[in-house]
Amino acid sequence: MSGISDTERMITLKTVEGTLFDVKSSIAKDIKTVQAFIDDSDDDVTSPIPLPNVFTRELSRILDYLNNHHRFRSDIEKADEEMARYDAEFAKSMSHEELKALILAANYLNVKDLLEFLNQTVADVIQNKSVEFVRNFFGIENDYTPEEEEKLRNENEWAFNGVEQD
Amino acid sequence: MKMDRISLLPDSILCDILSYLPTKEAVSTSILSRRWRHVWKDLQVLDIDDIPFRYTLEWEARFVSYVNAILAQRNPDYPIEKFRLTCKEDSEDSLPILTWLDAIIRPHLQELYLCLDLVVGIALPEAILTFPSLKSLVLKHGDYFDYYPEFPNVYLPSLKNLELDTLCVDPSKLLSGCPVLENLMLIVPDRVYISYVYIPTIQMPRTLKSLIFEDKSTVDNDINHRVIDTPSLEYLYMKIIAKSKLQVSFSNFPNMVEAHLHIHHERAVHVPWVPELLLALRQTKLLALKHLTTRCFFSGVTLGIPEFPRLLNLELDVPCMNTDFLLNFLHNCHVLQDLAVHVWKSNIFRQYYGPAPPTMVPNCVTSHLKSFEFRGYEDSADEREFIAYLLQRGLALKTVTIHLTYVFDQDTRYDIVRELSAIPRPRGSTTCQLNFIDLNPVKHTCRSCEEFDTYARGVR
Repeated sequence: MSGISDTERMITLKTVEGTLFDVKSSIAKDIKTVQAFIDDSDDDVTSPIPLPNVFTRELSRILDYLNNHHRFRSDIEKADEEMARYDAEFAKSMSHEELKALILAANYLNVKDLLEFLNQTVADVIQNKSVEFVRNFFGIENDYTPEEEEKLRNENEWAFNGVEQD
Repeated sequence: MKMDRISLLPDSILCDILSYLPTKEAVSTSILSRRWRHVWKDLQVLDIDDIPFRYTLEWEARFVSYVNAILAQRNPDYPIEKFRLTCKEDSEDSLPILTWLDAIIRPHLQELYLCLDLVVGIALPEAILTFPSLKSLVLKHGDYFDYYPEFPNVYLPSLKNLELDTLCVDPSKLLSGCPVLENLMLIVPDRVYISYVYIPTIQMPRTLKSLIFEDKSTVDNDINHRVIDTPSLEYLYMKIIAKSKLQVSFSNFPNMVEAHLHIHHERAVHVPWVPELLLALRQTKLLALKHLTTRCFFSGVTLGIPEFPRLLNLELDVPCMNTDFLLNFLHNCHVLQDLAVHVWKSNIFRQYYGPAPPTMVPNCVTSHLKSFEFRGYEDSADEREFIAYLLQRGLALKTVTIHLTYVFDQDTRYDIVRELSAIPRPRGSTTCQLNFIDLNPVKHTCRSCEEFDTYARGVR
């Protein structure tokens, strides 16, 4: 399958809800927060590693992403094509709320590639959208007074011109 | 109700999201709320384009104050890593490009993309050519090296990607200073273009994996040498005029995946390097021989066609319809799945000098060929015969698409479609779909429209 030997060491991760996930150490390497934990314990990890900020839904998504990317990379023939297709499906399968929760988890776990991909996905969602759409997407409360907002728009007239339309 | 968890994200993440947007849009997020007012200022990626400003009143002045404001307000503690600037100047010196470049060009820079349409071109600041962290350099719409009295020293130890779409100087010094270059796009314009320099030799860096090379600068009187000694190459796009004194030399390309050749022969000269190049490309999976590249097989010399053991996808432009040539080619592509043939009507090269093909059916036709496309169909006996040959023997064929040339009147088109549709198919391939693409779409006035439609499955 992926060319990784069966005897590879497994690491157990524990989510907020207490769900346990067994992860190959080659996958754990991509989860920098986990890897740092392993390094700190001199590679002597027998009990599950607790992840106090990560929920089961997010961790299972992240592991799915990493497992698939590992698999694609081991098969050079059509890696790029399959990876692009998988990534597109992965992004589409999430609601905006789920996407934001996953960014938070990927940020905490420090999974660089995934975080970049998710940030790019958010950028694609908000590109060419109105101020109201973007506020809504991020759940931003507009705390400017109307006067302040007006002033800011006038000061930065160069920046706002032409971006308003949906 | 769910708490909005993204508001817990640090500004660095928000800023990273903004770095995927055009800078203008990223800056406009300062209107969202007090917290967002300054997020964009930490951006390390700037992508500035004058298009949203153009076609408005005094757009140049507004664009200049926009860029100046970004550069003045951004946080200088976060050096710029990627910089893209696309703009066009209407009058001389109306854009302070060099001032802007001075402000952003620091040794942390990893990617620089300039597409500048200026009244008078600028020289790329020399310092860039020794930046240790620079990974990608893209210079479009002008020659940014033409203004140096002498070409400066180049050492770009991290540069992986280099794209120059208007090169008018000898790139030797530049290319030899890029020890890890993987992707190169080099376009050398015609010598009638602004300033022409004779470039005797271009040697591609050995480390290349992908090469896009167009060269219109070669001349008849002088020797031009182009060296593509790049054994790791996986992608090649080459467009070149085969002059008599042009020498092209190359390595083998055992990792080739995709090769596109547009080789233009100005006269009926025999160019020995073209068949040699095809031999060097024999491991490729996709091969496109466009325009007059195949002319070497029709120019009076008997040449063998190399074997392509891994070729899946073949696009073949031919100067005339010649069944022997096509069958010989197919006999050398054992696993070919997709074939597209485009017949040019060349008046000079009508004679194929190769041997008669073996009588047996090529292996790829009986067991691999899935799609066949024929462009420039003129309904000659040869063309009809070749299509019938594939339809009758192509057991794996799924689609056959025929592009009718515009010369036919409606009745003739109707007859062509009827005749080709009536070709008996082998039992195994009843699922093959026959499509006709008509460059001169039918007006519904022909005498038996209904009958035509019944036959012309897929006519567009």
